[in-house]
Amino acid sequence: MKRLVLCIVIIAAIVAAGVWSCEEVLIKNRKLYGFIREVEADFSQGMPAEESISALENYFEEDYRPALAVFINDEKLYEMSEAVSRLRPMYESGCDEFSAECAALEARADSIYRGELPGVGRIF
Amino acid sequence: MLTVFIRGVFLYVLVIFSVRLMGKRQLGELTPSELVITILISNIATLAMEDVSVPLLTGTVPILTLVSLDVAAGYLSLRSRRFRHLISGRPKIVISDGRIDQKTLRELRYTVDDLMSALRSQQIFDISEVQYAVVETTGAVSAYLKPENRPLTPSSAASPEEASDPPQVIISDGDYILSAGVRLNLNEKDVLKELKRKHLEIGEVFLCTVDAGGSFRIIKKENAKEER
Repeated sequence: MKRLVLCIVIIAAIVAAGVWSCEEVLIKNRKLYGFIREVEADFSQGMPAEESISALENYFEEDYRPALAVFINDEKLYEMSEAVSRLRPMYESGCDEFSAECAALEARADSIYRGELPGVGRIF
Repeated sequence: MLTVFIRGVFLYVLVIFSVRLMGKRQLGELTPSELVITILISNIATLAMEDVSVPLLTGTVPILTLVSLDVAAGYLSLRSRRFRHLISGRPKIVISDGRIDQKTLRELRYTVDDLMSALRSQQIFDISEVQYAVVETTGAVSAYLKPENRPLTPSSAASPEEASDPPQVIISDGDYILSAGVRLNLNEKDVLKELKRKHLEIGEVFLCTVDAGGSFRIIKKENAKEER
């Protein structure tokens, strides 16, 4: 009986951790989208975006990536890290794909969130 | 390198904990569900140990899930005979009254060589010595020798036994076992009549066996009155 209780506790903890991880990704993503939109707004209005890019880089490397690395595959986060590090040189060179790169970064963050949700398509 | 080492140590502790949680049955012969879980755990643990790009939590969650489900299935098996048979299968009688049940052997996809090999592992080299044999849910064969081939004991020396199949379990934990009744030419009414004679309800019986001569041996559940 003790074993059964322990197993029920483990299953409950796993379900709780699963719900928490979805919530954690959602919160972190919302914050990341905020930083990305700030960068995009500065860029589209022709304002200097160095500061907002730095804020985005700092947030991603110091908060977003370490927090999500506990339960998200490293390769996905590495791809996002590459996208974040591409933003500054693209901005400095005036690359016209800057906005597209920002959108791609958002899409990657969104795919991480969708990956955490137990959708029918992902289960089967 | 150190990461793999630390993950290895963590997973070692986790797998030991998991095997302990599953209980002693896991260390002996395995039923189909236990075998599947053991193979899956070893695979998941290896992947999580080697691939450092996969978070350790992703390896830990399926191991703990499988172990928890195994323990829950074990608990349900204890409560329900039907569930136990669904998960672990049923023991199958392959030799009864000294005769091989060829149909059951075919159903089990058990060849004569498999049967002979299993008997040889029990020091039985002549199949005609066997009175009764069962293929257990673990795949092991349990054999019951004919009286003349059994080792001499004080009781068999005092009164030589007749060749008959061993007693059959007809009530297990309060459940009437229809197949045993059919083998013994007994119906549920006969069994209930016998229980009534001993002032017992079927739900109060932990184990009831009946031998070929029709004698009942009843063990009551611990919360019931006394053993008869």
